[in-house]
Amino acid sequence: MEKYFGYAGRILRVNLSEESLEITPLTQDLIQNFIGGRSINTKILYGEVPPRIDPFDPKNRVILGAGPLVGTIAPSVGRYNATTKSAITRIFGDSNAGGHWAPELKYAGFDHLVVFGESKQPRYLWISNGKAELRDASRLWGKDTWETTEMIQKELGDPEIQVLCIGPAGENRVRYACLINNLSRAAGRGGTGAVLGAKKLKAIAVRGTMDLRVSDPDTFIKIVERLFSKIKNHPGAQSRSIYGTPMLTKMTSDKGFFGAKNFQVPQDDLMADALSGERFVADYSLKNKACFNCPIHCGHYYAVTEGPYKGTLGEGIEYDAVLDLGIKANIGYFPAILKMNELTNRYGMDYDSLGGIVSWAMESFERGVLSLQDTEGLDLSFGNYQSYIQLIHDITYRRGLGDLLAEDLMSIVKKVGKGSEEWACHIKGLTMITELRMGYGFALAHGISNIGAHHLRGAPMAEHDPKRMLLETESERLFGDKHAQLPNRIEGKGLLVRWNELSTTIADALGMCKFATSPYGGKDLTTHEDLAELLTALTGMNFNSEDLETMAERTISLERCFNAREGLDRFQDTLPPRMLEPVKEGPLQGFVINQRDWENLLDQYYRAHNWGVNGIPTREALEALDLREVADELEHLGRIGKPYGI
Amino acid sequence: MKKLLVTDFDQCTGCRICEMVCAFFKERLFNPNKSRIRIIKLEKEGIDIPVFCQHCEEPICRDVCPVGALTKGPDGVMRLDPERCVGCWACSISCPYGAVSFYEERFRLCDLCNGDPKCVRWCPTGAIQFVEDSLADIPRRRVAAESLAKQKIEGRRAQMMGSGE
Amino acid sequence: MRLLVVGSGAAGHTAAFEARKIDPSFSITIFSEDGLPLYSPCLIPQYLASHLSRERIFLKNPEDYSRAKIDFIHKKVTRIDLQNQVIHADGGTLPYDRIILAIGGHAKKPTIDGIDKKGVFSLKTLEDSTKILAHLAPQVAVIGSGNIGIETALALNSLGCKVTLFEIEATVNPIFFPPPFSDPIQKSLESEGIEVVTGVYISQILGRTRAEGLVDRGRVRRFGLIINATGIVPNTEIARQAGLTIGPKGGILVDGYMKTSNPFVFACGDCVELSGDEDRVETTLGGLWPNAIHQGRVAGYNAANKPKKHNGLFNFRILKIKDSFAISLGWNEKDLAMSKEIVLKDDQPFSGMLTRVYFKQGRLVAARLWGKAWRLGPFITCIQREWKMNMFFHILQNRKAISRYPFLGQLKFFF
Repeated sequence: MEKYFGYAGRILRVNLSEESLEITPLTQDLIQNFIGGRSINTKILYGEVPPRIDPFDPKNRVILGAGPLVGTIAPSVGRYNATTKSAITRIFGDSNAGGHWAPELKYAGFDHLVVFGESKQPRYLWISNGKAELRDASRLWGKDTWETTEMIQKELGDPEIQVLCIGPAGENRVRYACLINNLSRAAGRGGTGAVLGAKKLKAIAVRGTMDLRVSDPDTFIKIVERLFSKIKNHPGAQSRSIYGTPMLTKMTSDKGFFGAKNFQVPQDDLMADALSGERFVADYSLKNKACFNCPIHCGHYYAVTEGPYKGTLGEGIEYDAVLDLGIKANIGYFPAILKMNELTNRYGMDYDSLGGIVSWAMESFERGVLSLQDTEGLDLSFGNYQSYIQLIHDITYRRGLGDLLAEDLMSIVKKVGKGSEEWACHIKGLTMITELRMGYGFALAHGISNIGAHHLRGAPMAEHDPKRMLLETESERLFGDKHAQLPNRIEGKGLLVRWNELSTTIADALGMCKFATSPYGGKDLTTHEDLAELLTALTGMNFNSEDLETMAERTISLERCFNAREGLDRFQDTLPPRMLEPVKEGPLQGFVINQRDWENLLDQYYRAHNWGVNGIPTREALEALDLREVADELEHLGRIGKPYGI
Repeated sequence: MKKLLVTDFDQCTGCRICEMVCAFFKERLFNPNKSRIRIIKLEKEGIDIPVFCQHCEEPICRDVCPVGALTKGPDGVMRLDPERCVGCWACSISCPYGAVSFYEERFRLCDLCNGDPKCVRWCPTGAIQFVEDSLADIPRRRVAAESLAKQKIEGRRAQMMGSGE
Repeated sequence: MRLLVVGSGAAGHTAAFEARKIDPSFSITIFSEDGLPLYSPCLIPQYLASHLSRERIFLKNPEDYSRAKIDFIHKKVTRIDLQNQVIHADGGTLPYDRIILAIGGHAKKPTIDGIDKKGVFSLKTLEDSTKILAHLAPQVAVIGSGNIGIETALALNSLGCKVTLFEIEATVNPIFFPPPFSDPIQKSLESEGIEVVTGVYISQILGRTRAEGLVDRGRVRRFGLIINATGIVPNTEIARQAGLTIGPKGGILVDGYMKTSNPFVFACGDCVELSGDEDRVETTLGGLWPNAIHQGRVAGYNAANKPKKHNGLFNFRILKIKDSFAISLGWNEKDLAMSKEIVLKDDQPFSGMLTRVYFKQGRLVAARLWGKAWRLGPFITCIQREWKMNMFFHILQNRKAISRYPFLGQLKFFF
């Protein structure tokens, strides 16, 4: 097996049906074309998962990947991606998580895990220093993620073992069950937990003590010093390091895209104050917590010291939990939100999909579309956190209404009907986390995202945070318009979203947290040039920023092709009905994305990628990316991109 | 003037940058297991404890070592000589802080990086400080001051202990 | 000031060199019965097994003595004349201002008929190991399964001998590792190919001119080499003769400053017995390197008129069998059995790991562990400080307290 710098050099293939494990080398070819992490995951998924299968089919893969920077001394490099055919959307699925699990995988000698097949009995995977084995998980089946972590550490005899696992939600194939590592870090969206639950793989435990080497240590450490310094001097990163992501709560209300009551209320100062970052830090946070090697330490450890949820302890909380467990359900009571955070972590459930579905259910209840009989007596008025908590238990164990709500929103709405699709806020089956009507770029990025509605696939953060904007000259150069980053400017959005997509893809391929990279800080955080320099010094292979961007383009195009094989095209790049209504009140009152604007945005975006008018990559685009076989395959299926101007 | 490493546990975020830089500057590779400072992470309790050599005035490790591999220099700094070490584990077991760590056939002990400890330089929160020994008890003075304001603080902490699983 | 140190082990050497550090003007002499510079007896089993070369176990060389201006005399001290403050060594006398007795201990002789035959050895000194190496035989019997017995059995086993380990009590190493700890120890030894025979009293060692075998449960068994590993007793002859007080357990009685019943005579190391308060049951601890070092330092200070009190007995033993560790901290089983109100708590915190803690009157006094040697210093500290049981477990639940006592967090892994 070739010895690399930075890479561990091995891929572990886990065949659960035959309970066999195989170690294959990480090839030069994969590295040159896809570099690592999410991108290599994507390449493998495309090649190995046939189109149109059910996500719970044994042929589906769950691919976990830690990029070359993971486990090195670069800032904020504790991340991994989990790529699969999503249980909730039935299309391309990908999620990302931090904590301390991914570096351990590298130290144990592996860059990627490819899990497929289906076990007859519950199993967990134990990986240590170049070796792996499948072990009996029957004692663990049924246990929540916290119990599972502790039990595995005790069974294998080492408290420093890193555990990634599913909880009862995954076991019960809740469509949005997730992977949990380090008790509170989630590879959340897409229902990867349900896919592993169907495969009966309960956990992946890793302990590694092997070295990762660096080709040019002196240069590497110099760049790292520069990056640490950038982070230290960046006001956004510093703000996040004090308050965590809840620093966003107040801002979203002030700017008028709060999203309360299933996106009906764009501004609510009282609730925003009750759920602000300042309040969280003052009343609940005990200290800061960080992922591996991260100087931003945006995490917290919290404690609830009074009230009905007194004694709730744990790590968190993220802004999107505040949104999905709180604001969207019109709950402004932090202790309840913290309790729900704990429950969803323990059960292994994505609280973002949960929030999208529950807030839909609450609106349905208030509109009479769901009756007390439908809810089996549960009062689902907005603001009722006790009911929400009860629902979490019921959904995990698929009891009563929980059984229906454990499905994806598209299916739920189909069953319930009565016009409830009007307020079902999802794109391609994945619920939106935040309000989209605050910037054309933000909305566009969610509409085109290959995994369904998501803010980390191209959403330009600069639209709502001037601190993150690039200079006007840069904007002109990159996006063709000086003011492309302004929220209500339509020009340049296609290129803007594409650039953000490339940036996040690069971060995911290399394994760095996006909070340390350019979408979150422009030139003043880690740029593509910085990453290319780092990668070169680390691996001894020459990379420049164009190489990274080309690789990212290749990855995104391949995702697109995966979905094209599943039957998706331009028609699925839409916004949900509510997002096409004008904003009713507040600072953004009147903001609306009409159909014509939307088509314009889509065209800009497809052209920016050199894709066809039907939203699928053209043959020319694919061949330019060395993806000729993919072009052949799509053409054969009649799903290739139709070039503009023909 | 003797200087010591001191920590403030509430500032430690458990990021392990200190482990990474220690191993890197000592051995030019990435492997936190080869660090001379280790972070004990109790994730469920939310506690992160940096563990490193205290360079004790009366080091127990030096007394238990049957081969004299551990010595205290005139600068007060403890050093472990890997040539003399026979790997009996006595030092690692007897150190009250667990400061002597073992990986890949070798025991490792912090030697304060010749007066410029890297962990101190790189810690993003200042959880580790390198201070004159007369100032080293500042964290402890703070603890004493806290216990004077006992009433209010104890009440809230007692509630925090409640869950204790 | 003339300081004489009788005995050239760890205690004697530390005493001499510490006294030298305090005052360069003293005249310091070490009397050595075997004439060897300081070596580490802890390493003798490894030397026996050829895992370490002879050079590795010596800790001092002749230059060290001349540099420190310490006279190293290869003579046996035969008498101390307390009245005239003079010692007698073969062929001469020497006056003194202070004496430090560091005369060590010797192997206990069990009451076995034939124990004095040639071919029966104990393993305490470097000389012993030389003799044993010259008498290796295919079948070896080790009598006594304490730490020395087990280490010797393992060493001889790795040299290719077929070893049988005999223990008089029902389980191996009963003084430090009661059941259930004796099980994994015995299993590990057996997996190394050592035959373990427990609950057996050896009544007779057979052989005409030299030991050729012994009687085990009525059967005659042939052994070409027999090791006596039944324990150590303090050497006290010259102290007794001089009229110094000998303690009830047979060691030279000393106070917290390592001073004997004579104000100018100090003692340290394997030969002493600490006079303690009645709560501290353990007052002699033969064969522990750290105590020899610590007591030697204390004796050296006090002999040099720099008052220093000793920190208490440092009480832990490590037994390494292959990749596992058996560790005993605090009081031994004999003393625990004699004491009242002992409460214990067992746990199996991780697979392959066993732990037990003992509390007397609510205070932590001992612990036993089997498994990994995973940073147990915090345990030892708690035992040294005799922590209260309720505080111990209470603090393990308390976040703030754990940060106040930084070593506590690591203990959480054991409970």
